[in-house]
Amino acid sequence: MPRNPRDFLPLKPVDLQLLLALGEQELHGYGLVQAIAERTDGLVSLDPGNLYRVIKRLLADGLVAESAARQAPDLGEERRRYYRITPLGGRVAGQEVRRLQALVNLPSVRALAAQYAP
Amino acid sequence: MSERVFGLLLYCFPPGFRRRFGTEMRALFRDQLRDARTGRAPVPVVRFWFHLAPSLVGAVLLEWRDVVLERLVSSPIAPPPFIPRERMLHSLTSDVRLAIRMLRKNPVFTLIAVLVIAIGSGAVTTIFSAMNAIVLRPLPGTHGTERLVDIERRSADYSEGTTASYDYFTQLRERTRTLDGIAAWTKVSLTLADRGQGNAVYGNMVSGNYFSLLGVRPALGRFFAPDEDRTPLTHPVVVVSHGFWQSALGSDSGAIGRAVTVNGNPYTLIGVAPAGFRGVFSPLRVDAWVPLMMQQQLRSTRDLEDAAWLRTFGRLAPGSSVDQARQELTALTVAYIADRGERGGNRDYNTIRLSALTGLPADAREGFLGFMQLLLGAAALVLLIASVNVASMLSARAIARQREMAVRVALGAGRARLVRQLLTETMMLFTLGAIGGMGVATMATAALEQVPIPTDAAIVLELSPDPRVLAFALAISLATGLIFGLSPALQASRKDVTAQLREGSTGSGTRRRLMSHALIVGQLAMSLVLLVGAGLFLRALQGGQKVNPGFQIAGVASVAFNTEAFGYDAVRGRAFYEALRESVRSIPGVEAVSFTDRLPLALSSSGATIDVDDAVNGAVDREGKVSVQLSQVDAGFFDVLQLPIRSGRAISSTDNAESPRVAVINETMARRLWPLGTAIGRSFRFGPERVTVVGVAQDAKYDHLAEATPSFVYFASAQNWRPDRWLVVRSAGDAGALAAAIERAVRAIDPLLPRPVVMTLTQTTSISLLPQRVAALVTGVLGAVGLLLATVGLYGLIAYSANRRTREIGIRVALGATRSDVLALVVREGMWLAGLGVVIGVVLAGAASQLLRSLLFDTSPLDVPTYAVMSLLFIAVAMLASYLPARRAASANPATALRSD
Repeated sequence: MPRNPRDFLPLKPVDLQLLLALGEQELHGYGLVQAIAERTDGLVSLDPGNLYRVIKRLLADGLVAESAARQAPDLGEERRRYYRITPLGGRVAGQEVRRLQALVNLPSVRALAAQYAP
Repeated sequence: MSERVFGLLLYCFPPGFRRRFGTEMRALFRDQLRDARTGRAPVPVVRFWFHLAPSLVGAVLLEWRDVVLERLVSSPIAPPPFIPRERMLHSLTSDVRLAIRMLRKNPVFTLIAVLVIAIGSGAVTTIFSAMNAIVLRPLPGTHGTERLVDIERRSADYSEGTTASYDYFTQLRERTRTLDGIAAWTKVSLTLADRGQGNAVYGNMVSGNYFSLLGVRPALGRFFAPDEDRTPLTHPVVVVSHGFWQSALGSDSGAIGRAVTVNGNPYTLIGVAPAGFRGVFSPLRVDAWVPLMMQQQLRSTRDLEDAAWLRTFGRLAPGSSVDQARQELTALTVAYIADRGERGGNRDYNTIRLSALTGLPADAREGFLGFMQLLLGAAALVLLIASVNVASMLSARAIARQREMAVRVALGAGRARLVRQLLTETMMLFTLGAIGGMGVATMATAALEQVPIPTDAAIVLELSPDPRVLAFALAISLATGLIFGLSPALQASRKDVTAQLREGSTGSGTRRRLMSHALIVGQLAMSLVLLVGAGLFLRALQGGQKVNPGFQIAGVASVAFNTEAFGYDAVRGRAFYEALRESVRSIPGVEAVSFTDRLPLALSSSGATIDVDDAVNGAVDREGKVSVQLSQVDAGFFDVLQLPIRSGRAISSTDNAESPRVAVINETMARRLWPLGTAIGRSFRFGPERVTVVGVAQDAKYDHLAEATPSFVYFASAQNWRPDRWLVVRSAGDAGALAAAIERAVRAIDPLLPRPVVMTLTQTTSISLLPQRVAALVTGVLGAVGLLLATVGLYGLIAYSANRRTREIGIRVALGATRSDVLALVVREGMWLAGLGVVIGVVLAGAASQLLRSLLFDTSPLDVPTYAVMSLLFIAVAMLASYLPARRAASANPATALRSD
């Protein structure tokens, strides 16, 4: 069932961060939390309570998918479930980034940023 | 511990979500917790939980909301007023989010309130967790036990009961239609040897269907096959526990099929039970199971056909109820009695009692539950104090937030919405408290597991919380949250807007002050009840230690032996005990040596009836029988215990199998049966034998310290062979120091025997005070916590009130009031409240302590010293709590004070 990526826009900030992180590589839960904290300078902090709600939603929308569970190289013996981005997820993230770029490039937005956050 | 709590919290999520993400969430939790621990934060774990817990609770609520919404959407008859309901669920989301934000914004208030709730909820949860672990939850390691029932044969009024004979068991098993199966088991002492020295283990002899009925699957190998349950003595096979397999067999997976010896006989090891499974009586760890059919080899003194020694349980057939099964089994029992022509006491055991099969046998369950309910009541008081405490905090906060509420109303929020918002916050607070309470309970149960139980048996206590406890903790917290949060929420949302916006921050009112005073007095009174309870148990403990047992407890060492478990027959058993006696007697410092089948004051009793021909009227029942307690003792027993013989002689070494049967009786029995003249030389019938009384011993305590002295008979153990006995040794010095020498003596007789466990009589008799000790410990801790909470509440109230009176105090000082006048003014308010608390508390304690009567020995529930001391302690603490704010008020500069407000 092909779906139009634009139907998903605008994305919630945390959804976008998650898709962008998975766009670089497959990650397990802990890896995702760390990658996102790093990208957002700690602004978006995820914990077991909220991370898996987001993942559940993105799985249901078909934007991410589960990979096979395997051992994480740095986390000892235990096997972790990895997540990857789907082609649809990639297109949605791309469209969202495009949308944000367009927003940022508006002259009025640039002027606003220059004035309040030099 | 954190992870244990987190694992339990996962059970709050909808099952689908938990199954899908539970493992991952747990892994992520572990990783983040590890990060938090390596961080530099002062209390990393607390901080971590502080951030995690609200979002976790929010996630739980929102996941459930999703589940409910899905159901609504997919429901075939979609109700027309669907939209409002959905909107309500959506506004729940914003309520929850706002609540999380508000709680995070006031971390100090949140932390203190959560801590207080956690203490109260933790107290209740701890006790419930212990109850749950011992009697409520399904046996560890079993499956599908909801349909299992414990079957007991009892008298019509359930007051007395008996175990089942093999014949009776097989009759029931063959004829029942309401049960899918009945299994039988009994305990047996075993010595299990792989090679070399044996291990003494507590074992069970079980019917072939025992494991399958319990739904236990072997960790290794197999359990008993049907043909191993049919013919006596043909299948020497043994199953061992997982723990035994690990400790004694070194977790060797090749152990299956290995030849071992059980009580000296060759057996084959066929299986290992799963980890956690400890048999049907779960506090006592079972390490080996053998087929019932092998019993003649392992317990030759018991006859398979006649003696009643089996415990039974069964599985309800599909479609039959507990009540149907009870009626059918009772009918089968009545028929059995008529068919076999049973006589004597057995004829009266014509009723069946069925109960859930959990941890404790039904007869032990009642006493235990009664005791635990008392402790639960004490813990509930602490929760009540904590909740009242938080309610006053919420009221105080409601005043501080009146402006915020007024602004919201002005912006168009309805009152219902405000109340809901405030309630959501309170509920979040109490839910967080419940999580904290789970933490408290996890730690407290771990501490309780460490309370030493003075017995040589392998007792295993696992009291830690499980999902059922979590549900209980949450339910309790939410209920208290609703009760104690509603009034502050209503109060905060009540006042009219314009007045509020104008008035500023100082809300007040006589009604409110009265209310907060009442709350404090209530807390104080309840904490005094707890303190009095703790004091009474301490007095009972003290009194119990002073009760004269009639013999000398200190200086006696004891060891349990069972020569049958060594694989000895009666001849070899007798020789062993003779040799042991001689060699222990020669140990330096030993003054006397003897044997008995029953240690005094170990909470075990053994009763029987005797026939007496020449007793006075009224001493015997209508059939000429007298109920007595009895014990088998060897020569020297009265010297070991230093129990004086009042007349006649003690049991001596000349009383053997060939000589006439003799007995020593206690003074109470002599006085009851033969009040006129001497008891010496009288005789009675015990079973088929005529027994002559040769001596009268001084009365003593036999079973426990609070007992009414029974009629007691000491028989000569040389005249009644029993393979299981206690060796008792009187030492000139420290009895515990004899352990090594006794072990050497045993080793010298047979080096392959298991290591003897030497305990002093001081240790073994201390079990008779165990309930008092546990109760004093628990109520003491609860009382201290309750007092702390109540005094902190009192302190807060006095400080607040002194603060509000700053101006008044300033005027008084300006007009010439001295420092001590001001001190008195403030302290008086506190003392007035504390005094009222004492009066109400004493009255409540007087009523509540009546429930403790049976545990207090001779201590009166209205013991005056206890009440006096506790009230004084209480007043002193209250004095301190009001003195501190008073001192601050008195040292304020009147000029500044007058300018305030």
